Amino acid sequence: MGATALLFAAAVTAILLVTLDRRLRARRLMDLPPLLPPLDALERVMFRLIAAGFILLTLALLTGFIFVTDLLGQHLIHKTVFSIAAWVLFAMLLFGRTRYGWRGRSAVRWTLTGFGTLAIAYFGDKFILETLLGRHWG
Amino acid sequence: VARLGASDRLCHYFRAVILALTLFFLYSASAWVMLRSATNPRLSPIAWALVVATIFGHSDAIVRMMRIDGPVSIGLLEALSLFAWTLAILACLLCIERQNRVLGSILLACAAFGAAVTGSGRTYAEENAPAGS
Repeated sequence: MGATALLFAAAVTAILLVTLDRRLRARRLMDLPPLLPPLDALERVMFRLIAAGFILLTLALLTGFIFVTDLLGQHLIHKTVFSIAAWVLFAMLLFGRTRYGWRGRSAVRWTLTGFGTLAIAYFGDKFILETLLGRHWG
Repeated sequence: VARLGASDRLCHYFRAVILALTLFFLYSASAWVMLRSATNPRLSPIAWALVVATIFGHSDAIVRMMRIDGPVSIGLLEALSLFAWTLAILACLLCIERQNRVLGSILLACAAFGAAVTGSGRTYAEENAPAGS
């Protein structure tokens, strides 16, 4: 839950970054909200959130592998696959940032894709199993 | 196993609606005051008091939902409520630095929607009620 919250905050920051960037490119400087920090500071916050979320997601996956006994029986296979996919996406983003200095729109795209995958893993999985298929379990 | 009567069920839904509305308005107010406090430092104590009170209220609602009504399973609505609570805590940590208060306010506003589903999930009694009751 902590990892999802941190990565959600990173996704919100990414959307803010895109909005600010578009306004800057369109030279609509008067439309910029005065309360927001500069773009590079916002980007630093986004990568800090991603790094913290990635650490928590890694811990969650590791503890999950220790405690889960039956992936199929506990209806956890979809959640596990999507969570690992999100983990891979964020790992690649952090690697790209440190190795190749990824930033700007490509970093935003990776962040939104990663969070989308994680949201499907947690909420999408619950929505499909509970609401559409009507299955409840402990 | 407790069988829910019509009046009990009505009471449960009434309580859930009041709780949802209260938490939604408290979180929305917190987000708004926190946003204003970015430019007006005099509003900071009010913003923090409001956020802390809201988080305490939400924590109490979650504990009641999970402990007093019985051991409910964490379904979609309970997960959304817990997610909102975690977001609110994260927003508090972000808002410590004044330049991040806009981001914190957005997170608090998102938490308002998640908190609005607190208590509207199925209770232990409902989960275990015999079919047809």
